[in-house]
Amino acid sequence: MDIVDTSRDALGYPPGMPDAAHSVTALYRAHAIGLIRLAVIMLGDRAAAEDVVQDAFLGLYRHWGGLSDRANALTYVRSSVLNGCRNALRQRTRREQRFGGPDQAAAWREPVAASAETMALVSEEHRRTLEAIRRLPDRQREALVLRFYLDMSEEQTARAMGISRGTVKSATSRAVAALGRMLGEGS
Amino acid sequence: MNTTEDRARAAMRAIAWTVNDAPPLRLPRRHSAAPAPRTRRLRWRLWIAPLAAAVAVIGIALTLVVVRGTPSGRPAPAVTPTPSTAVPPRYYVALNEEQPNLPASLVVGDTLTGAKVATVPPPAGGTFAGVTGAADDRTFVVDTEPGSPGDESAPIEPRTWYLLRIAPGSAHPARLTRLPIPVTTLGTDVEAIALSPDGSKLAVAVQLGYPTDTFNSPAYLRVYSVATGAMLRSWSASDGNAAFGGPTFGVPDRNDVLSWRDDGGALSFISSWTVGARNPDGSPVQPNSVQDSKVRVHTTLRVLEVAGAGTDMIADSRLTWSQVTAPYVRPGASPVCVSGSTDLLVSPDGKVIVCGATDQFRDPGTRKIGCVTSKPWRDLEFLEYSASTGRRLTVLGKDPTNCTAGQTAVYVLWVSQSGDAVIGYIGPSPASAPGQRQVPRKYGVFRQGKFTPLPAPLTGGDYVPLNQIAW
Repeated sequence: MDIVDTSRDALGYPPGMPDAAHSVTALYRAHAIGLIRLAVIMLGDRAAAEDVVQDAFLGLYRHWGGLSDRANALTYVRSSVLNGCRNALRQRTRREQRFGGPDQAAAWREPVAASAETMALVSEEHRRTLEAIRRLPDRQREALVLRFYLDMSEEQTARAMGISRGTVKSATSRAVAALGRMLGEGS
Repeated sequence: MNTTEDRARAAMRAIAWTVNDAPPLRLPRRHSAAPAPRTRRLRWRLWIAPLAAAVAVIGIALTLVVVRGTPSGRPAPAVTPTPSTAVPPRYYVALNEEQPNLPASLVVGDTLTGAKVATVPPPAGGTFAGVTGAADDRTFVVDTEPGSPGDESAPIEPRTWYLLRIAPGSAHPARLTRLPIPVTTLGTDVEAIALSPDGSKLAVAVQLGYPTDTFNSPAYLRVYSVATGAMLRSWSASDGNAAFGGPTFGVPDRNDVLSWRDDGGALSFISSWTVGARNPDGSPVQPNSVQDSKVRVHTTLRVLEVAGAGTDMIADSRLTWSQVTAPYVRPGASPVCVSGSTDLLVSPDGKVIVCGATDQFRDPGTRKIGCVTSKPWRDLEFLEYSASTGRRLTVLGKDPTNCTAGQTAVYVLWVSQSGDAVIGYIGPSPASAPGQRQVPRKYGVFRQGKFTPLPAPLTGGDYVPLNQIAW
């Protein structure tokens, strides 16, 4: 399959699909950086974050025709990014278990862990906090990031995660408590 | 709002703000009514390059496994066998000074295939001066100085620091980001640089005194936070010549004489200096000079605990290995590490030192390099020493060369985690005249007495200068 770089080649949209390509590309241009930021918080690895976001928009493009409400495209793609991050973290954990730890897994020099380049740009204290966030259970981590990074309301977070508002509340509360314990705080 | 929330918000914002751009969106050109097979095909295509790379890497690894254990005729090494980490890093970054009158660029290359991954031009008005890498094979720190490599009138300061992140196979295979580490001030030369294995800290060895060339001006070893630019530690040595072997003004930053232990807790630095005679300006007498029969070259490895007390590079560091050599080697003597620190590396686990060594005979009378009749060749070797006892452990690789050939060089460029393999170069010395370059070049992995060749690195100058390459 040919791959087209939309930044250089705005032509060549497939017959019958200009709306999908135009719309998805426009959505990407408007939200890609924000979504990569969201994914890099989750993964600690810029390249992996870009891959997850790329995959999410590819998924959106493929399912564009079946999207019932295109106004919800951003919600759809944001959910895809969260799912992609969850899968990437699980794969990373499995790989580390298989190879006996992150050091051995990295023996082939593939970026299976938070990348040094990305983490090098944040301070030691932030690094500790981010590593602790990544150790939280999936639901708690996602609730924490959506509530405290994206400043989404409990209602918005519930819709993005596909869970009830009460579950968002308890997941966030538990995430803060667990994070405090990991960071050695009393809160 | 409580403290934990504050910390979480601040940390998330901090890492989020490292992202300021996005690669182009890549969409499939044709839309198909059958999305599932298209997905698989797309994923297959995306995996072809990594798969091919993996096959190539496995091929090299198998070669290395096959050659392992071949008797070398030497006593067995005392080091405990460790998991195989002898596979060289996949990618390197090198300074390309092919045209001295033009600013040096960076080239990102594939160690195994020899392919060029990316070329990074220097920021306007500058030339790249050094490169050092983290342990992930993706993260490097580089610095620039004004002018071009061939412009001797250009100042050597300020050195400006950048983070280079490589992502082979992506839309942006190399990204350069300015770092907040302070630029160097007037009269300060950067001697050596080393990025910590996790990429969070940069160790910089500097010497003051440029351009007065006092040769004994003070040296400093400083550790900076890559994220904030803050200086985290600083040590000094009153005699810079004793600390790093004298100023190397204008020469690209060394990335071989300074290294981090793999846990990031210690820094090793190699010093090399001559004893026996000094020139009137205080500079050390170089071997080959008229006084060189009195000269002895001292090479030491010292270790500084980063969290340790004290600020004196020498008094507060631990001497772990030393060697004293004369410029003349007796006929029939065993090879010794080549004088100077160019050809010495410490394994990341801190347990082993690997050096390039030679037994080439030099006649004290004529000062010529030669061989004795009974052994008309010279052995160029990679020797492994214990960093704790100083005892020689094994010979990683060996190459006999014809005595009638020109000057030869033996460089150690990369050493594996436990020191059981090196990427090395044996071949013509950069000092030898082009017409004399008759020694065949060997560049590749030396391990257990066996040699696995690698494609020539894209350093732009006939393997020179190889010390400006980082993995």
